[in-house]
Amino acid sequence: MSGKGNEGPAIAIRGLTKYYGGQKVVDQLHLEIPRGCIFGFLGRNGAGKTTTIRMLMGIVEPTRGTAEVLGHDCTRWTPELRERVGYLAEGHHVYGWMSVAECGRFQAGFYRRWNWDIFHAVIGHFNLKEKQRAGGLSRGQRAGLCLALTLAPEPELLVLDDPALGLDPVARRSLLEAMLYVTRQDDRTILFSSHLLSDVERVADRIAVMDRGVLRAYCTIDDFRARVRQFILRFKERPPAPPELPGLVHSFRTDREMALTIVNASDADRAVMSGLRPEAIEEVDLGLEEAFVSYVGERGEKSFFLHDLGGKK
Amino acid sequence: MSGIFWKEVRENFLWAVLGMIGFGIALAYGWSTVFAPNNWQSYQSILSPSFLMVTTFGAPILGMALGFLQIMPERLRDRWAFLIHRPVTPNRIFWGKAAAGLTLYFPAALIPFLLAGWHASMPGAIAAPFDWAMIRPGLADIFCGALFYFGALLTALRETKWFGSKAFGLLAALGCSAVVSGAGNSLLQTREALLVGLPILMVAAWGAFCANGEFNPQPRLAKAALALVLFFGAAELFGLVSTLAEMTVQRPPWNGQQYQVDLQGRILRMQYKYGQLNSVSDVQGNPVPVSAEMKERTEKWLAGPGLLQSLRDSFPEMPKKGHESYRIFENYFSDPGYTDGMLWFYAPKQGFSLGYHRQNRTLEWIGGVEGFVHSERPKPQPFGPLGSVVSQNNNPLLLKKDTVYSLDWVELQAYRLWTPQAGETLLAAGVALPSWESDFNEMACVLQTNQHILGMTMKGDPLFEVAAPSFEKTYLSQYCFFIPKDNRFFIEYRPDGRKYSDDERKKMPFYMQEIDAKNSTVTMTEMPPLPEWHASRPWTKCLDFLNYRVWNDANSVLSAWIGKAIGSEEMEDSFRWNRDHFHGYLRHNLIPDIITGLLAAAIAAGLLWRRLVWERGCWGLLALVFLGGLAGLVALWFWFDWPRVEACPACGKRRRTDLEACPGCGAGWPEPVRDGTEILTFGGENV
Amino acid sequence: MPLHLAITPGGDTPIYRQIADGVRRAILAGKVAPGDPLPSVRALAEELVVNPNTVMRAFADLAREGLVDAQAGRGFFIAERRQPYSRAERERRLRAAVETFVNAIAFLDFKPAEVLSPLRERLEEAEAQQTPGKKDAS
Repeated sequence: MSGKGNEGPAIAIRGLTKYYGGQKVVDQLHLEIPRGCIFGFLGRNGAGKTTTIRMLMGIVEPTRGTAEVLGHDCTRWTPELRERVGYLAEGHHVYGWMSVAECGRFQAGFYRRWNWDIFHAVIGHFNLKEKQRAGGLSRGQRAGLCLALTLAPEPELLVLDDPALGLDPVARRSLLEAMLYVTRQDDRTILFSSHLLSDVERVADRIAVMDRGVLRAYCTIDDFRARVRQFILRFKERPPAPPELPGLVHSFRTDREMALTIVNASDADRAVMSGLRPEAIEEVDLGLEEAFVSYVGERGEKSFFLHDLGGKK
Repeated sequence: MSGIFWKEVRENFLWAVLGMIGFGIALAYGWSTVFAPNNWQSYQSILSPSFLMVTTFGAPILGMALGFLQIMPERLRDRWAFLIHRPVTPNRIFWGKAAAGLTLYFPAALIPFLLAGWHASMPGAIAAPFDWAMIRPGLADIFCGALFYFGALLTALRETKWFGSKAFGLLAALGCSAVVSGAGNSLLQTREALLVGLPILMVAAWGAFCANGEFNPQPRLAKAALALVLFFGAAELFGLVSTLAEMTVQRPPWNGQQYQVDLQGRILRMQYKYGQLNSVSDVQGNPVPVSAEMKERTEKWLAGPGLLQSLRDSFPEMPKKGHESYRIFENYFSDPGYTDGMLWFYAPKQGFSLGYHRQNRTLEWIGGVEGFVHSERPKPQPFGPLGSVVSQNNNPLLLKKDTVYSLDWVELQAYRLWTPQAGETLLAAGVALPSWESDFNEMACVLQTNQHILGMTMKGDPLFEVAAPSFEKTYLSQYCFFIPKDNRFFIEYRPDGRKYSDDERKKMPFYMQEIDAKNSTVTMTEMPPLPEWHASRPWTKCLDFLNYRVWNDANSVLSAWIGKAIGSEEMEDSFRWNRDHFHGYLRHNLIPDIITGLLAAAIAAGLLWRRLVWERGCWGLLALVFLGGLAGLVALWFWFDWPRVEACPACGKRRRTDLEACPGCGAGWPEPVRDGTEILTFGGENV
Repeated sequence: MPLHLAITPGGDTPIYRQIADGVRRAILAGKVAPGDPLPSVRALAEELVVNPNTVMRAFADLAREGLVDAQAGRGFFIAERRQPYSRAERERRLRAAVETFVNAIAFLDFKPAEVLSPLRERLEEAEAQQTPGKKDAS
């Protein structure tokens, strides 16, 4: 368990649980992230992503369960481990009264290994001047500065908590480029959480979806999209009520059509749908965002009838 | 870590400057009230209560502000991660911060304060002598501010979880103030309290920092320190509650008896009830009629008392009174004497009596053995180290083992009243005068040596000399009563309080020795012992259980013993005084205290059991709660991180959420409910 | 780089398929000839700002279809035009494409004869473009 070791997963989580008062913010999380993986952590606000990340980084104490980062227990962070892991926390915090250059010098003083080339490259990429006061930077510029500070020590594992929050599209693109740059070297792992699914789709090898503290999905993006499919049933007249299927996450009825979003659709499900005797059944690919919204959104029917039919489920 | 240190210093520098200015303004305001024209206490200068109040309250506020400012902004959400996610141990980050905080705090507090001291030290600033040692109370207050600095760090670091945490801050602050008030007025106790209290608070704050504000990951030492802080805080809280309660009651009216001598020379036994004169009887117990007028103005009819200052404390230096307050002017110089436009003090270090002109605030007269000379003239021979100074009515007596001087500030003379005979040493001396409300204002001086009792005028003219009385047991002269027109003196002897215990003294009689100087007669009257003074107990007595005295008393006893062991007489005296003060108190309260302790321990045991945290080590906790009483119980409640308890989904029994196995059925925790919409191709389910 | 690929994340089509489609379109349009090198996986990934594994997958799919060749140590190259599928497979794919086409125009109320004409035009156009040696000047 201890020892540096370059084998083993980058992050291994077993049964991680956190209670805040009576509420389970993270519930029995099991997750293993191999080295070299770009891991996208998805979920609505309050799903437990940030709490999980904080527990991994040793900032919050878990209620029970274990987690290991690069083979080390997450409740026992050592300075050596902190040197190997880069952490960009939400909000892009810097000490506002320092200049960009001072931030760099201050941070560099703590690390044995500090790559000034990377620092200056990222600074330049985001168009920052050395003398600028950190407090006067825009959101995107601050993100660039934080990124430079995080990447310069060349960490083996990069943990980014909602790094694109509040960033304009150009800054977001720069962020993605920087992330990909990190993976030039093998064995570099990135864990990042984001709400911008198009960005996640670009760079993530694997995604995990947390919903109300529970891990509901851990797969590749293609897997996710393959398993969350939309079926459009066309009827001659008004469509019937949506069938009770276990994987049904979203349904929508209009005058002639019923659209069902089903997870893990089986042949049995298809048989049930046929049993409703529609004129046609069309299976549709959903984009990642659509699939995600259906997956974690509120269950239940959204109807858009000319007159009300009443809600269901 | 010097990186953190300089970052902190730069970040908070402006705040410190702001704080210094604020503190300086407050000090300046306090200082100005000292110099207000009508302030007859301005001689106290840097020891004036109005000035010290600024340091007592202002320094903690400054310290707390700096502590909060260093933590609060970084506690906001993920800023904390930015601070601690660095390849250095949390120790270094914490001590870097603390070092920076103290580096900013002390100059900010000391600079304005020392400026005030420098101003006070300049001649012409105040009409009183000044000794740089007088800055000690202010310095102690400023040091206490550092205590509050760590208290603020601790409070800000504690994770805000639920309502308890807000009360926690209060307890931490009270814990600090408990240390400060425990320091009290004695320099020694202050030193002890600060030397003990500061590391405790430092360690508690350090532990909270290293654990990111949580409880369980803290090192054991820090948890212990935290427990102490909370305990002090709870004890202080309860003390405040009972003090406030007592304040709602009027001053406890005192009941007791006293021997007095009236201006006819009768020895009277005065009985006071509810603070008022209730009845009077003579020595045998026969009642004496009391007129209404006499009840109202008791003092008008009495021949004293004058206090005879005992000299049996260390010789020849000024006795080291460890329990005396170092926060009052009179500890450095004497009480001031007032004559027309002048203020008179005794300066023990130099050995002179000093006279200051009140208007000009300059030193005018310096008094030595030969008398008083003008301050610009060469100094007279100093009196040297004294045993004691007796100041009454502008005619002080300066007492040494082999000499007594009497000073006359109006005539600017010094009289040598007495020289000893072979083998004679001075035991006690005082000024005899009828009570200040009577119509007489003549004074005489009474000396008790190991061989004689002497009486003389303040100029040294002898009035009487009799042999010292001998008693079977050890008696000390305490009071003298004086009837000037007959030159009759009465001296009251009481048993030695240090040699005999309270119970023994209850059975020993008092003695009154009457010396008629005119007729040269001496009479000794034996008087029955008097019961102790006591206060009628108001309803607030029922709140006594809030003030747990066992540990306080134990602390005093232990400190006195340590003092004796290391040969520090000052320390021994300081804590012995405390112990004596509480000794009788304890006798009344031992049983209730034990009951309270058992009750608190029982409640604690129930709490630990019910919350499923009971284990072997808890017996030690219970013992501590027993010693700590109610305050210990409250401290336990806030100290421990009580785990959440839920019903087991398998067997329904109560179980802790932070443990894997149920104590009832052994089951683990169930996986979250799966509804068929899971996509877990890479795992994510418990194998 | 004659190969202009653009991807739009968030759409219905996975990114790897968009890349593969882009390469296919370029081959069909004659913008690249057999033997031309494809950009390296890493370079393309950084240009498009996507995960290199995604690019890798697209190239692997194209290699499986026989449109590109992987040469060890040197990267991917446009392959000689050849038919990797069997007759049966080709016919299966044709029928699937026809099905899709028919479904797409099902509600447009065209008669079969009206549909055939534009269909034939387009097919002849594509065939002309695919003829080896005939590159479009653009």
